[in-house]
Amino acid sequence: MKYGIKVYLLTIIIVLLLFFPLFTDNYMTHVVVQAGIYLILTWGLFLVVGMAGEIHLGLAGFWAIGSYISALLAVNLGVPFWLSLPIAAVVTAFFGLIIGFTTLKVSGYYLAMVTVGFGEIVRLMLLNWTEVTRGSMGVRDIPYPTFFGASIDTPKKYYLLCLFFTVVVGWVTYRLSNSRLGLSMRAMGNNNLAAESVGIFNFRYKVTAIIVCSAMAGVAGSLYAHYITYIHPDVYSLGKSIFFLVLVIVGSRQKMGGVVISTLGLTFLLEYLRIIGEFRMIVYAGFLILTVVFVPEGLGYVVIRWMGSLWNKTVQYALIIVHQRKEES
Amino acid sequence: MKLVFQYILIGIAIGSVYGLIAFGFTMIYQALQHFNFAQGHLVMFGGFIGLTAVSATSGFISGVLQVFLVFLLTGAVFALICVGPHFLVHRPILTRSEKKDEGMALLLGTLGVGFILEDLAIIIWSSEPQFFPRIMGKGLIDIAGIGLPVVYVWIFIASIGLVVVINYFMKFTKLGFAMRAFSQDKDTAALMGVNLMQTLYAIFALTYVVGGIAGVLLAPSFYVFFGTGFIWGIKGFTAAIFGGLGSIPGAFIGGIMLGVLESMGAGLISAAYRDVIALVLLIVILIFKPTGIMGKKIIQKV
Repeated sequence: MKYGIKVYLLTIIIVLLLFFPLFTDNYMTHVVVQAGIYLILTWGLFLVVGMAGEIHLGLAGFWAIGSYISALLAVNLGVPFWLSLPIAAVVTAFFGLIIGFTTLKVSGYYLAMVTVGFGEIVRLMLLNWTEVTRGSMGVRDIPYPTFFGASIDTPKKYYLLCLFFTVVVGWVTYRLSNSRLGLSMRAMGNNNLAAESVGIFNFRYKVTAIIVCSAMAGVAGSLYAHYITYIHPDVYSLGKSIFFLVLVIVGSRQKMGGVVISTLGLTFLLEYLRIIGEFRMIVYAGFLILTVVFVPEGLGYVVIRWMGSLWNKTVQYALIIVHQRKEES
Repeated sequence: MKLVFQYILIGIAIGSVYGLIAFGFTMIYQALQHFNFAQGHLVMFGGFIGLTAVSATSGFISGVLQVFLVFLLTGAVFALICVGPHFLVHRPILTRSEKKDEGMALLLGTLGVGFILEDLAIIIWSSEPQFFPRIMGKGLIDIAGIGLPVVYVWIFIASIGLVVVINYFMKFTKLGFAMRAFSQDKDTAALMGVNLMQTLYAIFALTYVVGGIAGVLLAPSFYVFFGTGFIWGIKGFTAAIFGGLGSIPGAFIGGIMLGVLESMGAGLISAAYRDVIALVLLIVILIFKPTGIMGKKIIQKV
């Protein structure tokens, strides 16, 4: 597909998405809002895992920091949502900077374990540092965001807010992954040594990827806290971090669109699989194993490629038919 | 002061089990230069298998013999469990022609195995923490005026015994020889008539068996609970890194040091931060001394 057509198509899709809540119930909208928040997180992770080729298993920690900063500012000091969200993003990005700089020497499995450690330390601190974070009681009664005086308090209203942030984050991710920065990160992810030998300063791009990913996690955390209005340290478990990694791997490490498909698909699948109860995790692990063993490029990528070829074929047939009509007349 | 000594002794006992978990990581790392991220879940699952083995055997046997039988049963079950991951995950990934993403694929595949084990534990047993029966003795033993629960002595002896058995197995049996050859050079080993796939299975099965038995050893002093997999994994990994990857005695010493530090920290600072100690230690080691205390410097060829 050409760039121009892509932009038109995406604009049409986004405009259509604006009217989505008119046709669905609250529950469905709730699932979609959740998927939107996950999408912001997985796009951030996509930059680190897909582009820079590192394994990041501590995303839930950053997400938790974003949520708690935003929630505590709102509850204790009455800071409005529109101010607490950027603060959360900046503070989380700062933590990303610290993790990025201190893990200068490590990569691969070691970075994976450092991030696991970071995520778990954050969760345990949130549980045990009771004076500030209220420990296992969680933070309750977080105010809903307001928009020129109107409170955004139903899933349908929140959907629009979430759509706005998802589109902004998606645009940032797209621009980043196709800029000089993104190309350097891709080169790094493909072959670290080769990238270094042509003058790509690995360290700088790795840290940039982690900082951007953390800032996005902060945004998602703030959105989540003000949507659910009650947060608890157990939400931000290691399992969630792994879930986001799985979303990126099952989606695609090359195409943003693949991540969208896997996030929406798996979120809905897990939501509807609630009926089979405990076996849910086995299905999910099955997807993971299936992907890494048989479709290493990602299931989402395969779907995207299939849709692309379908589109091309449709255009071809349309052109042929138009041509035939012209000849006939 | 007595209390400190008691913490140290308990730390040594628990740490020796961490050493066993670290052995699993080290073994796979030596053979494949990758990690098995389901190692912690094996320990968790081992606790449950041990629980069932205890209730199955407690009718007709008791005492040391029962403990021994429980270990044997758990080991056998784990050697059988390993067949599934071998054919579904390890073998297809490691025999793929494209080697680039092997590490990431194995990491995620073994994570998937871990999830499945966790879920099976909930389905077969329950999601409640369970108490492990005291088959390894109750009461206190007096060591130079310090009272120590006798179970810790048995834990320590059992882990040392297991390490000795593994050492003998690796050095003096044909299979152990093949495993060492596999770790050193796969192509040459294949030329010398080592069946690579069988050896791969043997290596994974050995780490599975050790992981399961480590689970039984940890069960008396902690609850048997489905959600503990990652914590054991992180502790084993920390111990493996601490001892320098690639040396089995190093892994064991690393485990003991981690156990002592953790036990002292939990006793003297706060029990709530018990797991934080291992995590902080892991991060500090990885940042300042990634080769560990006994590891060699790794030179990467371009």
